Amino acid sequence: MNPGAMLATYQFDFGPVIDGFPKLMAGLVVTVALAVSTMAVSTPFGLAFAFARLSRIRLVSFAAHAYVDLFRATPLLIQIFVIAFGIGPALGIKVDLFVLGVAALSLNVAAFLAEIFRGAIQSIERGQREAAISTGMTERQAMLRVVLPQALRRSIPLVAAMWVSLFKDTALLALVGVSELYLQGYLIMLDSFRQVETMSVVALIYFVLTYPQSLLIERLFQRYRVRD
Amino acid sequence: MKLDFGPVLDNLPFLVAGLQGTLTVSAGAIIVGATVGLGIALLRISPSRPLRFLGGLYVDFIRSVPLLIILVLFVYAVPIVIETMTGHSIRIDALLAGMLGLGLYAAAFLAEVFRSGILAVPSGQREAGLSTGMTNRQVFLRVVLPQAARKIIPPATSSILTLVKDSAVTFAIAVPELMAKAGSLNNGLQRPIEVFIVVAVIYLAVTYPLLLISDRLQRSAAAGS
Repeated sequence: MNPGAMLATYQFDFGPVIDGFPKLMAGLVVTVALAVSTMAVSTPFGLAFAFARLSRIRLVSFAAHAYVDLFRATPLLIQIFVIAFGIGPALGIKVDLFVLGVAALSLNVAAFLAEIFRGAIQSIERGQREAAISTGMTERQAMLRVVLPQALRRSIPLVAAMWVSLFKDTALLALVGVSELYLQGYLIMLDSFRQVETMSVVALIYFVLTYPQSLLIERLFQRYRVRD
Repeated sequence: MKLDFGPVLDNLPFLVAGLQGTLTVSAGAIIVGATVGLGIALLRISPSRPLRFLGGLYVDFIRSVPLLIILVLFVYAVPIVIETMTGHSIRIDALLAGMLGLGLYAAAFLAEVFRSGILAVPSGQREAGLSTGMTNRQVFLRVVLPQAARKIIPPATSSILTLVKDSAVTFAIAVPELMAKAGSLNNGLQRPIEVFIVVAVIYLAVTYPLLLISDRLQRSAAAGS
């Protein structure tokens, strides 16, 4: 069966999704805003949790470890539902859905970033820290001026990969009613019954935005590769 | 507001039935994902340029689009394709659609895991195998794949953990799994915090051991290289 014959039976109609394009673009703005806000919130928290895990105080490192594992081991969707349907309304005040969405994604992304930063800090050779301390730096100075800058550089490719997966994960917030790109597409689909056309256009928009980011990451991996 | 886990715990058997759905859809998706993923990996390292391009296109496209969209697209597009090709209209069972949709999605990620594992085997191994008189196929199955497996298993375990967690998204296409049961239980009880926390604990029973295994394998792989 050739594709031409297929087209003859099913009549594609991209009219509704083309008419709805401004709505999709409005959704895209929300998607980008969600991803950027989440990254901005979760990066400092991720770093804080990484330090907490490396802390010599048992209770602190245990608590950070428990947090990181809990959020890495449970589905993001559950975390989103707990925050959006549970914690949000329980706070009593009316919290904006966008804010709840960013909070849920940030809790999740911070846990993954904490693992990335911790791994990077631990990958810096011991001698670096010892050399810094032997020049008279305090332990804190050695960490902030010698170890951390190298560790952050090493973590760049993994953080970038995290960003791409976050960018796609924002779509899950549609399931709790955040009007991002996927939800806008879904509404057009419900309205027009043109499911395949609408969803392929939405998929294409994600592809056009995400694929160049993935290419960039591959280059980052090559550039910041650790050579033994 | 006071937390009360009682009503949720009374419905524990209902939720555990959902866990069965989660395990079923995950197991099906792992089989689909591993099979298709290996096929795509072989396309990506094949000597033929068009085949390599096709494999690359699959991986790049799937990895650039949210799972939710892949699933919805799959559910709506496949019946149209089948109907136009065979002339029969069909209804795909939600569970099967979940296995296939999630499996085809995971295949793109697993293909990359397989590909880098296979490429990590030194080419001398293959040549040595061929020089002993083995066929290409024998060399691949007996020499390359067993050695690649060691490189493949740690990241594949992590992919499987991701897959089990991602199976929660299949509730959006009506797969009768844990998340779907949680949703309908919450509709009845209106206790979202309690319902979803209990469900999270049920997921942890499966995912936490996977996380520990995956972390341990990654650590020893990193130490071994």
